[in-house]
Amino acid sequence: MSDGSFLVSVDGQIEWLEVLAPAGSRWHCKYEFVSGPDWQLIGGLEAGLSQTANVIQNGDKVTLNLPIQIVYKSTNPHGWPQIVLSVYSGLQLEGYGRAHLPLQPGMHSLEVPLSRPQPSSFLGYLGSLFGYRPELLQPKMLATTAGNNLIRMVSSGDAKLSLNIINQNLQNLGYDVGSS
Amino acid sequence: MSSLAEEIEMCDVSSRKSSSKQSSSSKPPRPIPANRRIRPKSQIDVTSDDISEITNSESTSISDVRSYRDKIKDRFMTVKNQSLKKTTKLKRFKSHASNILNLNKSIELMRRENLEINERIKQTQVVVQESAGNISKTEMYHFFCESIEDNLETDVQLSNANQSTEDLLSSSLVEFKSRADLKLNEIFETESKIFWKPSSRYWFNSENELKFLENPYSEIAFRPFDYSSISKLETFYHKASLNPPIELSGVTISTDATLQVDIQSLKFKHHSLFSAEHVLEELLIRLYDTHREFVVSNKIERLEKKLNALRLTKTSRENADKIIDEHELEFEQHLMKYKEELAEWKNDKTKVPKPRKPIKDIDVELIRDDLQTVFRDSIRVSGEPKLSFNITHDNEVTKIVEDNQETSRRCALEALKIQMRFLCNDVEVCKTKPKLSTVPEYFSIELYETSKLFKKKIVDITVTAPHPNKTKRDKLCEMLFSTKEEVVHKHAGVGCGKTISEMFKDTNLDFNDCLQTSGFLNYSLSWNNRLKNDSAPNEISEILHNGVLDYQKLDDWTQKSNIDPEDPKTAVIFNYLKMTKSEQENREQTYFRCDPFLSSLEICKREDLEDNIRFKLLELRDKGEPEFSGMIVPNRIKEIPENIFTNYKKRIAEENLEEYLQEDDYENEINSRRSHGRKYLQQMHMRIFQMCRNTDHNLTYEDVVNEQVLLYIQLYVKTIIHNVLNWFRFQPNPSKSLPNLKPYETEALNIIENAAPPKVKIILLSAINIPTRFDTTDKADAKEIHPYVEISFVNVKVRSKTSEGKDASWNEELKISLETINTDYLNPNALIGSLSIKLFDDLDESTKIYLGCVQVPISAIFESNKMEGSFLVKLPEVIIGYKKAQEGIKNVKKTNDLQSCDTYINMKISTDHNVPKLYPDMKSFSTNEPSYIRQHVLDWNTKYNETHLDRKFSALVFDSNGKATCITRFIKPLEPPQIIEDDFDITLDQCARYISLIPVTNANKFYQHMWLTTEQLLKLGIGSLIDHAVALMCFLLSLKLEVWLILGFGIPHGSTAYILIREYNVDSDEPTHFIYDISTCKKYNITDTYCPLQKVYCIVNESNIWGNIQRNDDITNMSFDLNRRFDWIPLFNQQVTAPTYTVQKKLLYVTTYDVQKLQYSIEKKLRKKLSKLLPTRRIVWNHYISNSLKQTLSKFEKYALHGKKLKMKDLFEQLQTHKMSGYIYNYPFSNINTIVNEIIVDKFQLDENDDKLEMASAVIVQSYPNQVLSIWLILLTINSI
Repeated sequence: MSDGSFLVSVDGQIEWLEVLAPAGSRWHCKYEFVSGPDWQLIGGLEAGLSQTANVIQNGDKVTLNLPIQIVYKSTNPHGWPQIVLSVYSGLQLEGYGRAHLPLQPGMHSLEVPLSRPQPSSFLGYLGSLFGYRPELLQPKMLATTAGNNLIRMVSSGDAKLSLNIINQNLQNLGYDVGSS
Repeated sequence: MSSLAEEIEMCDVSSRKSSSKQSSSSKPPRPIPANRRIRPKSQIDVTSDDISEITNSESTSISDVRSYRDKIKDRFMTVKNQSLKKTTKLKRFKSHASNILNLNKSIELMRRENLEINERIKQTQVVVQESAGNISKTEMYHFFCESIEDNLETDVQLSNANQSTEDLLSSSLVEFKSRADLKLNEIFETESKIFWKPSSRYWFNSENELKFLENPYSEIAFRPFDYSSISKLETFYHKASLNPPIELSGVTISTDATLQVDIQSLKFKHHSLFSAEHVLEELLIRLYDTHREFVVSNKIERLEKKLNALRLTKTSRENADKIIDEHELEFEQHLMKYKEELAEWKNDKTKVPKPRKPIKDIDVELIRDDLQTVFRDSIRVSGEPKLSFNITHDNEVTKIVEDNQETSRRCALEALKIQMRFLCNDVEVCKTKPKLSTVPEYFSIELYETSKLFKKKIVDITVTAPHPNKTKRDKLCEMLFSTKEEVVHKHAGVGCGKTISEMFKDTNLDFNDCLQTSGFLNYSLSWNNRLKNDSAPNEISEILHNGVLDYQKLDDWTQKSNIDPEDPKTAVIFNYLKMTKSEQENREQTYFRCDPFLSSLEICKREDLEDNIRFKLLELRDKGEPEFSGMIVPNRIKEIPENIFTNYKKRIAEENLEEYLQEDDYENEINSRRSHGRKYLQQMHMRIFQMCRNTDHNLTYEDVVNEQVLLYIQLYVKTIIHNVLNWFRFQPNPSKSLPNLKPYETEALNIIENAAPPKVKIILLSAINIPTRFDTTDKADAKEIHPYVEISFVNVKVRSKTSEGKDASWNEELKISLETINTDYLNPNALIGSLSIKLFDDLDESTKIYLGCVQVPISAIFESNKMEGSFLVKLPEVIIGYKKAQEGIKNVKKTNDLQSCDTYINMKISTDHNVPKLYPDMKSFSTNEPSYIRQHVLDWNTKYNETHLDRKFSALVFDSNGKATCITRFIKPLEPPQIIEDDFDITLDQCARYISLIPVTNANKFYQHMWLTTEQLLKLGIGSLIDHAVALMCFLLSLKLEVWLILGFGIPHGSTAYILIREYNVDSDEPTHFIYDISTCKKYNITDTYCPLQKVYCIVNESNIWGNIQRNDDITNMSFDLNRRFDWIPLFNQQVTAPTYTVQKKLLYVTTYDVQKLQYSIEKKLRKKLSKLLPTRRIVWNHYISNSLKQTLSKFEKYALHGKKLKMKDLFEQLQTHKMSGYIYNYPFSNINTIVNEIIVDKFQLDENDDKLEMASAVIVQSYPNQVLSIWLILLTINSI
């Protein structure tokens, strides 16, 4: 490409969630991509919502197999895209996860740790016994640093992603990401 | 040697000369005499015997000249050759000889060197052998280094003295076999002996490789633990005390400092029991003392000298004459005066009494005699002996005295006992065992005397405590003391309180001193132990910085405070110092740096990055500079335009100089000046935003985590507890029903809604006082209007159903969704603009008549998430064909509902979406305030905000430079402009009108944290509502009104500012309070139901801020008595007063010119825009009507200024013949384009039936000082009847 930009194409899926899932709970997951100012979305969806998956047995993996496809065009590697996941059980928040997209082309499987914010007050703790969960106003904030100092998070599981990355023109511009 | 060489040289010369002679004589034979004639000359030169030889040979070979000549020639040649050979030989010999000489010298030198080296080595050997037992590696290393250095030094010295040995060696032709000849080997031998000798440490390991020291590089990163970072760990410093509250084992505590008081003696100078004799004795002693002082200081001698000097100048006779002269002069003066008075008396005999004639009473003899006696007294009679006095104290006191009184005095004296008490801090030290935590500055000693009957305190003596470090017992101090009391004794004791002259009346002792009990005390004070320094804790904290001992400071301290190194208590410190000292020295030697490795990690230099335009661009964008925010940076440098930084650099330069406010380029062009002002304000906003974004605490917890559900839970829990408690009550309240937990009654749909963009929900309830049609048509239903509401934000529009009547009701829910970019808190332009809620009349299917509009700033909605109440609809000044409510009702009674004739829409605006908002953390910004005020304000503010969550405000705001400033400093009486030419008085409404004509910015509420001064507001021509309110407040203060600034929550602007006015009625004592809303220029009574103010955060005036701590938000019941402490909490008090220096500057008013041009250009633009909008139709402008309208329009401003209303009928009388529809608007001037757009695109709707359209328009611009402009605009469509 002559315009000094490169393409990053991501195909993949959110395979399953490894969380403490009691039988009968319904799970769904929301994803969004966060990228820097130079990154242009030229294909695919920037955000998405999965189907609801029911858990039959206690401690089962929550299999979602939610496909993700997105193509970015950028001039600078600064602000490399990140994926932010929000996992819900029913309507209740179960955790947030965040990961950078892998740099190297090829197939990658990511394990994204999930965590959820803790309530700030005693009343909140009391409420959490009855199913209250504080939520982030903008889960995208996890991809930046702003306001992260204010929240206390508690770990709540893992999400398994498998992503295929294809780059174009990255090497022509002099960026060496190595090879897998 | 050298002389020989010279001779040889001489020979050489002479031989050459002779050869030349030879050549000259090689010609045909010449008479010898000729030769001989020359000879003597040559003989002078030649002195050697060779030449004599030649002469001999010459003389012998006279006979056969030819053969001889040849012979001579040959001979000469051989001689010559021989001599040549000789000379070369000699030369060589000479050089050899000199070489040898030199070598001798050098050898000598070397020998000396060697000797020296040997000696040195021997010495060091001895040293090494001595310390062979405990040589450390470093010492070895030291030794090695030093010895090498020494060798080098000696070399250098030698070479300096002479030539270096190496030079000598190289210059010599003689080869040395080896250096061994020079005994240099010895050095190596001795060295090797030393270095290989110590058995425990080897230079090489078993594999004959150099043995390395341990690698100082450690695998594990290590950093000293920083204790200060843990908030729970704190260091407290306690003063040392004797009784430690905690029993510390193994810690010896030195006995505390004890004050040693040594009272030597007490001596009275006077006491009531003194006898007269004593008094006299004391007097005598005193006199003697003064006498002695005289003697010691040679005073008599000095006086004598003085007297002599005087004697030289004047005799006694002269003195007497002088005195007589003076007397006579005086008498004459008296006489003169008398004469004058006499003359006066003669003139007017009645008034002035007759003066007496002065009598001359100068007795010359008497004066002379007096003088003589004084003179005689002062001169020692000749023959009188010179006396010198001496006091002896060895006179014995008479033991037996006849006098009764004296004996009784002695009895009393014997019975008297003197006692002393030593007091410290009013505690008697003798009896109690005092433990003093602090060393008092003073001690007092009480002196008691005990006679037979009673005990009496004589005096308190205050003694200053010695310096804590004073342990030596030094000289005795004398402390004088005295008391005032009156004592009279019956016996011979003299008592006190009398003067000496009183006491000895019979004698002529003339001393006026009062006899008082007095004396002096000899004492000494010292500490037995040195007191531990009071200042020690500070020093310790300095030394022990962050829990790490600062070695250097400890060393300094020990040296400074002279601690005894022998003392076992302090020995620890010295041990430590010694250890660290040696350790540090070691460390300095074996210093290790990773730098060489670090440098390999550096890709490029910092300068390279800065020179690279692309990297710089990326860096600036990352910093969030407004010029580059959101810019896409190309990958290649060549694609970046060269001038990309010009704007940025210009702005930076401007910011540094604050150029704008001085700049006057825009004086003439009002329009461009306004846009420049707007741009400048935007830049200021940006700067504040950047500053805020770059601080750490710019978000609050609520902005990050959604805890809204918690409010429901809180309510739920409260209700449960309330209901449970109800069971135990004697008279139970009706138990409340449990509230719905709203988020839990959701459906699956909500999952999707969760991910949806933010929405604003508007529940439209009703409207009142909508303008009614002013119609003459016959249709009955045409009179009833059909209002509907259209809500729009940016490009989204929603409309409601059509309702009916002037008090319409809709009860409808409308939703508007926003783009997500609008709610991104990191975007400085987020939440800009306002929701416009427009009221239309649905005339028929094609015609919709615009009636009015409510502008609700979108940021205000998201700030509070909820807003409900009656929103005032801003109607155009005149809607032709419609009449406003108040026009229909005549003689409106002046009731409390003063505002009830305005149009209001009743609605609820809310949003579920909680948008994070930046919050300026004032702690982290630089400030203009003194730090103590800043701290006070911050503390007060956080305390207030924590307790009143829904009334949060900040008492510190940014000024235009981004410095935190207290809001009280923005308030100062300012002179309002003179807006009416022939009237100097200005009313409240006129001030408000003037200010409301300055446009209001539509920026995010966040920027209300920056306040402009009134000067800046006028200069920029734009500002936030708060700036307007502040300006009005300042004007009103100069009108001497009782006004305050209210920061509060109101509709439709959310958190904003209002003016509170207190007025006193004649009828009642209670003052009435009014709220002035600057956005609508309306004054509301606080009891008014339509009052836009809904919550009061605080009230501000010049000198204080009062936070509202009343329980109820209700404005109508609010107390505005600021002295009530349980209603209003003041920020400043006696301890901390408000900062006095104001940021407001004096206003300069400039008259505005050049409005005609603007007027014309607006009209032109308006018409152009209209024709562009309707390209298919022909617009005919009716100039007649336009001109006549223009004239009527010019009256409007005057009426508006005086608060009167024009009557519509008068207005349009001349235009009766036409059927018209249209509006008259009044706008503050902001920008030509915005005004024109606002009118045409949104409001002016045309019916599209006709091809031809007749229209009329007129524009009037009314100017006020400082480019504040009011624009009146009329636009009509005309259908001729």
